[in-house]
Amino acid sequence: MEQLALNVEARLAVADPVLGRFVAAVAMEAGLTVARIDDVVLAISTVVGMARARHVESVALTCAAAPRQLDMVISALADHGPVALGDGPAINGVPVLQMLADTVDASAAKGGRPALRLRFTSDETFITL
Amino acid sequence: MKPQENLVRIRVPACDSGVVAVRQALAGLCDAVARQRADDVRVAVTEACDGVCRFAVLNTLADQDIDVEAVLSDTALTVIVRGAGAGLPTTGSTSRRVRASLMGAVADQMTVVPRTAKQGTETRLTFFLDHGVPLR
Repeated sequence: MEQLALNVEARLAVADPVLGRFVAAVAMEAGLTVARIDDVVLAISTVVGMARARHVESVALTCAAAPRQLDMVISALADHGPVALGDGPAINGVPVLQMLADTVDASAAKGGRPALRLRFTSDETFITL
Repeated sequence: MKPQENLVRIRVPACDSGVVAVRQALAGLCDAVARQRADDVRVAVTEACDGVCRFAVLNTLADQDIDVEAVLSDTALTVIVRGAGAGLPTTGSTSRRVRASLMGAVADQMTVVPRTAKQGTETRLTFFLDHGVPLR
């Protein structure tokens, strides 16, 4: 799979199923393992929950997919101020997003606006039988 | 959610991976608002997106995108697929005719709007929702 950039924007009412299945498909195409795809989908649910708490109307994300790597940039959350990882759920003080993604950058910028950038990688390749 | 709301907007590269992502995203949308039409939406949208991809490949167009919008009204889900290409002629290759027939069969309404050569084609697929819209 060559490097691909994919954009999706969904209203909050349908964001969870739409974005979840979208990123799962992209992650699978990128060759992430099933375990990592689970992490990606759970991260999206977490982000949608953060959007709901911020009363954001829609969630937009850009996926950059490369072999065994998926980057997601979520900008809509920042419509109501900069995104802090502490806004999301945490376990024993550790943000869930930080547990799920390899790297989390809450100070990323997209189109001049603050954004949240998540990176997921796999050491192994997803194998289809 | 208000009627006539633009629910989903997607822009992906015109390639197989892009089509897969669009199909899954719209399957997720159908899970939320139009479960009874999920199979029809998946088939028709896949064909429309695949048409854009085939045009890009046949004409060796690099960096072509597929734009997809889904709009929900009180009675229908409308999916608009835009991409480069000359549209779906009623005559021409067998695969194009089959593609148009298939989309026309599974969608309740299908409109193909050829735009300028530079703008490509817009395929508008409407799926009526028999039992209202089960919004969450």
